[in-house]
Amino acid sequence: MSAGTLSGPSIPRRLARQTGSLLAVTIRHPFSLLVSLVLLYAAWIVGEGVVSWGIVHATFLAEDRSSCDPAGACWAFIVNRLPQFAFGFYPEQERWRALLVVLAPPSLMLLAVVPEFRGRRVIMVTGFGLYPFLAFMLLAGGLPGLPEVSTEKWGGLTLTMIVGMSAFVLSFPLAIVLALARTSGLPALRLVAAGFIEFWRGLPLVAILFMSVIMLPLFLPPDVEAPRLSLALAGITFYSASYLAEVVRGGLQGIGRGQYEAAGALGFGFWNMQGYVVMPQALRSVVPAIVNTAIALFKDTTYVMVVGLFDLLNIVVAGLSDAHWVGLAAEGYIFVGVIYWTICFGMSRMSARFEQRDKPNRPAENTLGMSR
Amino acid sequence: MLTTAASLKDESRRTDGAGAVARRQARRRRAALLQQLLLLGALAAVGAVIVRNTVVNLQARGLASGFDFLWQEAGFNVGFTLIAADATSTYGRIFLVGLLNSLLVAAVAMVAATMLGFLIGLARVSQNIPARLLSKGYVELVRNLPLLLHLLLWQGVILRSLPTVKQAHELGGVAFLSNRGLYLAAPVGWSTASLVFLGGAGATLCIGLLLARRAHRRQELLPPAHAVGMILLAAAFIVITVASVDWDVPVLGSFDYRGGVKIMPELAALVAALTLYNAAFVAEIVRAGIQSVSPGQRQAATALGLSARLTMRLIIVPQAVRVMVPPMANQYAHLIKASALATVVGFPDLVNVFMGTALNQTGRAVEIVVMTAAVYLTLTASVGLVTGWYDRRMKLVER
Repeated sequence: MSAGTLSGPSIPRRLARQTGSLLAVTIRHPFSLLVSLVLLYAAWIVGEGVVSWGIVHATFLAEDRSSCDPAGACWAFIVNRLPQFAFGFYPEQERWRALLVVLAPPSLMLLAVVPEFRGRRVIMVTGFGLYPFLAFMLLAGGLPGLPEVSTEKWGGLTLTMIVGMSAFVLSFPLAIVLALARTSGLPALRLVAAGFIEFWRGLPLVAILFMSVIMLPLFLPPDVEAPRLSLALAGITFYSASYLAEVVRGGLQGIGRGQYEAAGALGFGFWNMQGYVVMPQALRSVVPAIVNTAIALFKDTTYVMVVGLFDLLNIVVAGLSDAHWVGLAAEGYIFVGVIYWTICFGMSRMSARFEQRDKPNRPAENTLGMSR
Repeated sequence: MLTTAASLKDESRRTDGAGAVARRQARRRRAALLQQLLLLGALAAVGAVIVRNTVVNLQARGLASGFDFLWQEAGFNVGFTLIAADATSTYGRIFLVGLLNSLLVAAVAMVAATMLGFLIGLARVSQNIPARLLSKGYVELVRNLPLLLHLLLWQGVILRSLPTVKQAHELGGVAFLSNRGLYLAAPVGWSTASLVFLGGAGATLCIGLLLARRAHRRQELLPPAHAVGMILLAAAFIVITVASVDWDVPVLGSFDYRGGVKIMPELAALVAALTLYNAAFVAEIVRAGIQSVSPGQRQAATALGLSARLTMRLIIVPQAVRVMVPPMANQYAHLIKASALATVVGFPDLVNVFMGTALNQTGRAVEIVVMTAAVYLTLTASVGLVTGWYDRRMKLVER
């Protein structure tokens, strides 16, 4: 940006020139102009309707459906049920635990975009790495001062966070091992990894969830009883690990032979070579793809609905059948949609930022990795 | 790789002639073999524990096993079938019904998503500013929302916009639209003559297409009189066919229409959601493909006097398609798998009727899960095979 303003014409002038040339192109072709006008008109109609319904005539506070203005949206439904949408059926006096679980990932992610400071990387890696375990312990309780809460009571955004984050964090080490195995020199290892990855990648997540809930209890020893949430989570983790493994493999393919040979010549063992030389480069080069996988995984957490877990989407759908708030499907879906859209779009913007920030640093990072 | 790293270290330490190298290589091979045997042994042990647990668990729950259930009567009706099936059908037939339904959804959504996605993708790179902005807005809006939300939304929209059975829209007396579905008159009682007429229509169209193709190869146009004649002949054949079969027209019963073919609204919702969601991803693939064609191609085409439309059709798109094939294959595989969401809206696809109803009734968890998994693995693998073949063909054309 700054380089452009220094060398080229000023931003307003450039903008004016660009707008002018694009306008000229648009107007030169009459058919194109017609398409433009039709599209603009359609956009105006839709936009005007949405604003009028969603904001101008909307009701934000009401006791039930009948006190809402029928000409607009009835957001009061969302406002009244917000605690349930956020925390599910979690006991009211214990909700601070669920709140912590919901707020931890966004605050960790905020760290990723603030300017560099000492120890940022350590805080982020340990934070994300321990999140599944800490969140599970905090929510399940059973420790002194934390009464026990069974997993059936978990729900709403809390459950969505737990499922999405845990599946992603747990699948990451698995994905790295799978990717290494698939590119290994040992045929048996390669075959097993390829079979595992292709198996989980070839199945629909809906079928995987059914399978984990039906089959995993059969596989476990007879006296072990696992909650439905853990079973579903196991399925999603394998699914996500297989996709991530392919992404990591893509990164590994971009590492030249020279890197391995140089690391070997310097006396690095296998795991040191991977940890200090190969993985830092391979993972960095596929950060955008990793974030895309995370976005896809986050959207896919809604599938837990099919095994009867009450994630954000399912709890809103369940709330739609409340007799006091009949016929508010649009409001409910829009609320869910705004939350998912914000998170997913935010993540994709973040990935674009990473991509841009890492580009000029590339050669410097390489030498850094060598000197360590 | 484990061994390579270790042996590289070895090599740097001592270098004592050819014999030592051979010995080291033999040791390296032995180590590799041992590692692989250990891995396979560990896997076999895990597998054995799983099998043992499963057998114990199945016995404890009193569940039978074996594939004999496929020949047993299922005893339930499926809401939408492409082949004849009723409550007396076997589980094997139910499996087939579900499989065909899954394939139908996937095939329709695939074609529709490709077409819509191409359109949006072209709009993404068009010179028309509103078209570019709106298509970008569409892509960003749609692909950042979960597919399941799209599906529930479309189910709600479609069901609510349709009237009840009593007030069904009548379309020309042969089709009825209500919130229970679209009822169409179905052809029944095919006679030999009507089959012959249908064959005639098909043959005429095939011959017409062949002639047009031959003319195209010679860079000629099919004479208009021939084309019109062919089309008229085919149309006449079709009209005679329609007239010569009996039509089973749906009739309003006490609760629902009877007779004819029923297309469930769930099918429409499913196809709409899959199409609109995947179209956003296809659009991005198309955009990336088109932008991957070097600008020199467009400039050269313009210099040769090709119009913008012809440049797109003859120069840009054919080259872009080659780049688009691998990501499209991924998207198609994703779409096929996503069609399993049918179970959420209650459309009887493979997962819904077989992994759902049939599994609940028979309790043959292992068998049914294995069969369903095999189907999806075959489908996704075949997408890879077909696109691989197409990819190779496209490469050959290049030279």
